[in-house]
Formats: sequence, C-alpha cells, structure tokens
Amino acid sequence: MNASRYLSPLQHAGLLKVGDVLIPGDHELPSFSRSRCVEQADRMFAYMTESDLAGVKVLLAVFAILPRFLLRGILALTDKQRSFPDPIGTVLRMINIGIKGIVMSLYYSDIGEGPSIHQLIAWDAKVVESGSTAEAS
Amino acid sequence: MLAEDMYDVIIVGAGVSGSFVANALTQAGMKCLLVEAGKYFTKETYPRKEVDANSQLYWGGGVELNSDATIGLLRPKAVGGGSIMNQALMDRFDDSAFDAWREVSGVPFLTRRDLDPWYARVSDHISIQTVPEEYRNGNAVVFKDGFENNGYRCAPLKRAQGDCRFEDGNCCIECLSGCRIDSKQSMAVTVLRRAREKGLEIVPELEVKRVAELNGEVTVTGVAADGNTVVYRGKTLVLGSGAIGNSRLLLNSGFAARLPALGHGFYTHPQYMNLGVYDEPINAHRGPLQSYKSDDPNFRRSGFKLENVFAPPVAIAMLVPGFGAAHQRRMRQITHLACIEVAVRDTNPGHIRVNSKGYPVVQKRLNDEDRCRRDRGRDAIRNIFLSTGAKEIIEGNVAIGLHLMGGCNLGTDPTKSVTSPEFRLHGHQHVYVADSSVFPNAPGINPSFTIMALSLMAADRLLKDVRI
Repeated sequence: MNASRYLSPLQHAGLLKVGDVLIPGDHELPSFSRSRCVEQADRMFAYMTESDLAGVKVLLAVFAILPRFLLRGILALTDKQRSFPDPIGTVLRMINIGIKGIVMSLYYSDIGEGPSIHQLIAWDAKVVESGSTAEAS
Repeated sequence: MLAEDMYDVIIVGAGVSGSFVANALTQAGMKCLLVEAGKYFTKETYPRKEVDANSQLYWGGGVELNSDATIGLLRPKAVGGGSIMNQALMDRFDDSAFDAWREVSGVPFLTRRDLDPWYARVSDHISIQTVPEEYRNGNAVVFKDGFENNGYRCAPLKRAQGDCRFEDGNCCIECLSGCRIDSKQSMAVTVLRRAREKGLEIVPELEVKRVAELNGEVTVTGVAADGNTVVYRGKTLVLGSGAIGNSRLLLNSGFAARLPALGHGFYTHPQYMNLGVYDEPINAHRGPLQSYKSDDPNFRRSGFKLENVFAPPVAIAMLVPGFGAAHQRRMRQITHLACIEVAVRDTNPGHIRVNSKGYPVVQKRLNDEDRCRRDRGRDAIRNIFLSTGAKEIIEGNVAIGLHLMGGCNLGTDPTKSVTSPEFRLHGHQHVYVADSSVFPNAPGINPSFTIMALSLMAADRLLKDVRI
C-alpha cells in the first residue's frame, strides 16, 4: 500500500521494482519489498531538495513502466559508469548514487516492519546509555 | 521581520569555528547571536537510524555531489556542525602544512610555532585523549599488523573524547550520528554549553540567505523554520558556515565584485574507502572506531594518509559495487570486512559558484597528481590487506569529501585571496572569517584542531579590533 505523501502510486511501484532488482532477497535476507521498508520512505524524501526529489520521481515513474530486464540493464550501466565519458558518465553516476542511495538507505537502516536486517547481517553496534543498552539503530 | 536587538557580534554557522568564536566573545562580555541552519540536537534527540541521521544531519538530505558526480560531499547541518558527526580526531598541523600555507598566502604567522599556543588554548576547552589500545577492534589489528608487516609507521590516534566507557561494550561507530553519552567533545557539550551559561543567544533552524555590511553595521537576513523571514542587526559579523556555506552566502550577497577570489581554491581531501574480506570475523564496528593513524614520512611526502575507519551498513552498502544477489551476499559478510581509507592531500583546487536559484555548484576534480597520490595509497592498502590474510580486496571508487576547505582563503593579496591576515574579508571592516573556508590549500591532516586554534586567534583579533 502506498501511503507516501511524496510518491504517486506509479512512483511507489517503481521504487518497489527497482528496490527488488537491487535487493532481490535470498535464503536469509528478505527482498526490498518484503522488508516493508518502503513504507518509511517519506523519512528520506522529506529532507531531499526539491530538485533532487523531482528527478527521483521522474526516474521512479520510468522504472515502473520499464520491463524488468531493461531496468536491470540500466542499473548495470550505472554500475559501470567509470567506463563512460562525460556527460553520460556524470548522468549515470548521479542515477547510481541517487537510486542506490535511496534503496540501500531504506533497507539497511533497519526500519522495515519485517525481520531485523541488522540482526540478519550480525550488526550489533551499541551504546550503553545510563544503565540501559541502546542498540544501534 | 526586523529583530529589535542590536548585537555586538552575529555569528553565522554554529559549527566548530562559529562555536569557538561565539564562546570566546561571549566570555569576553560581548552580546552575541549565533544562528544555524540545522537543528539543535541533544544526546536524547540525535537520530538513531542511519537513514534519519543522513537526512537530518547533512545538507542535501545526506550527500551533495560535485558537478560531475565524482565526489560525494558531506556537509554538516546541525548546531555543533562537524563535531557532532565527525570522529573528533585531533592533530596539529606539521611544518609541511604550514609551509605550503605561507607559500601561497604570504601570511607570516602561519607557522607551527605561532599556532602552538592556540592549540594549547583549545586543549583548555576540550578533553583530548589517546584512544586506548586495549579496546582496539579487529580492524585496528589489521591496520597495525599490516603496517608492521610492510615496514610502514603508524601511531595511536588522539581524539576529543571524555569517557567512552568501552568496558561497557560501547561502539563509537554509533556516535557518527551524535554521541549519545556526550563523551565525544562536540561543540554542543563543550564551548556552546559554557557560552550559553554566559548569555550566548542561539537561533537554530534559521537559514541565512543574505548578509550585508553598511554604514558600520551588519545585517543578516534568514528564513526561520516557520517560513518567516527575519533580519538581525549587529556591529560585527563572523562567518562560520564552512567552505561551501560561506562562499554561497557571500556570492548570493553580492560580495564577489570586490572579492575576485571568492569561491576559488576549494579542497576536500578526497577519501576512498577500501575493503578487505577476511575468513575470520573482523567486527570493525565494535569498540573505538579508529585506533591508529598512518604516521609514515614516506606517505606524507607522497601526498596521502591512511585511516583505519569503518562505516555503518548503509554506507558500506553504497561502497560495495554491484547489486542483486552478489551484493546481498557481500553485505552478509559485513562483520568479516576490514576497511582502510586513503585520504588524498589534493593539489587541484576546485571552484564554488552558485546557480540561478542561488544553490551552490561545486566544480572539483582530481588531476593526474591527485590520482597518483590516491593510487600510491591504494598500493599501500593492498600490501596491508594481503599481508594480513585478506581473501579479496574491494577498492572504493566513490570519493568522499568530508574536509571541505577554501573558498575564502587567507592571504595578503586581495586579488588572490578573500580573507586578510586579520581574519577580515578584504575591504570589509566588520566581516570576519576563521573556519575551514580560510584554508589556503589542503594540509593533508584532519582540520578540526586547527580550525579551533585559528578561531581562537581570530576571536582574539576581533576583540582587539573592537576595543581600539
């Protein structure tokens, strides 16, 4: 369900789709969509600059209608951005950092309703505050 | 809305420099106002989740990019500035750094001998300790052993910290979004606390849009959190918004006409994190985040330094290349990763300008020399990882700019510099600058300690000026 104040249903679908390509899930870790971290996406979008958010929304809408194999191909290109000259390389780097940044931030911040991602990757950083243990995140 | 009060000094930017200046002037009896675009967090309110920390503690919602997206710029936005989220490493600059500064600036007092008394004064304000080796984690062991295996020199780190209570199992990596036990000596728990007790007025969440100097007065115009525009008046202005913030503000305020060097000479110490994959757990996230620094004269001469750092999961996920199942497998190995970062003493200056909307645009690239320095550092990291049993090495290709310096560089020549040796903007009697934006070039050493020292020096100068 899309409860985002910032994303349309199409853009929300695009985020889930690109999220699952980047983080498909395996026998231990849930996929991006199964982690349900997307429900917390507004925590990020609320602090983005207007221009960044506008660019992200366009990309997500495009991702929503792209066939999955094509989306995977574009992401593979952005991952190989160093091989491309500017200005193409610059655009690919921006897409890579922007989209990967959103997906990885939501998933690995351990904010989803599903199983704790931090527990699953054995991330146990902590700070003990005044007698009580505050787990990382 | 025009604020009624007239201040002796208005300080824009509550980072390391602004906080030190504000405290020094307030303690001297001046009526000061400190304004800051970010929020005033406390140990109870620091963001806990990585996504929230990145979004709320940095400009641009986490990271800003240079114009060709090759460097991710991390620009602090909070009362306390970088001292809230940095690693609080405290190193005095060496002769190499000061010699290079004097050479380009022509400012004679930029020497270790002249700065040493000011470094000592900083130590009166904050607790500086050597990170205890007995609590070092696996990442530090890799770093130390690798240095010894290869004949490199390293040394224990000095850090601004109180009591981190490592015996309780505390992990300093958590404090990258603010120290929840107030051990890290951020400005919020040191100089600002004392300045507030003396009457310093702090206005957080006010984004300054314009500053002006006219008829012996300064005005600061900003937009508050409720969207209202507020104008403050004072006799003197101190800029402490950092390299990008100061340049942006002065460019948008029309200062470029009299300051042709404004926004030029921007450096970042581009940092590249490199990961070693080990069979056994490293647990780089536990205990002190960093224990050692490279202290090798050959590294210094070669223009780089190595740091034994690590980062929380989101940042590591960004560093690991690729995506899909292979990326997830790698993230499951996060406790088996060691990390060493190469920080380049960059030689190619960048340029900060503003676009039609007044937003900063940063043009900054590595030149051949800078890339050579980075690659020399990577060679050393490879030697360290391989000599300590790493099964695989992942080279980070995303440069991170944490030390944002220049744009208002110190110098004697108004055509080539922005800030005079008196820490005033050239041609302006009532506008002072003393933060990292005044750095004439990249020192290749963590800048916090020197920003504090220069800020105390500038505050002393300001006091002398206004009392003449």
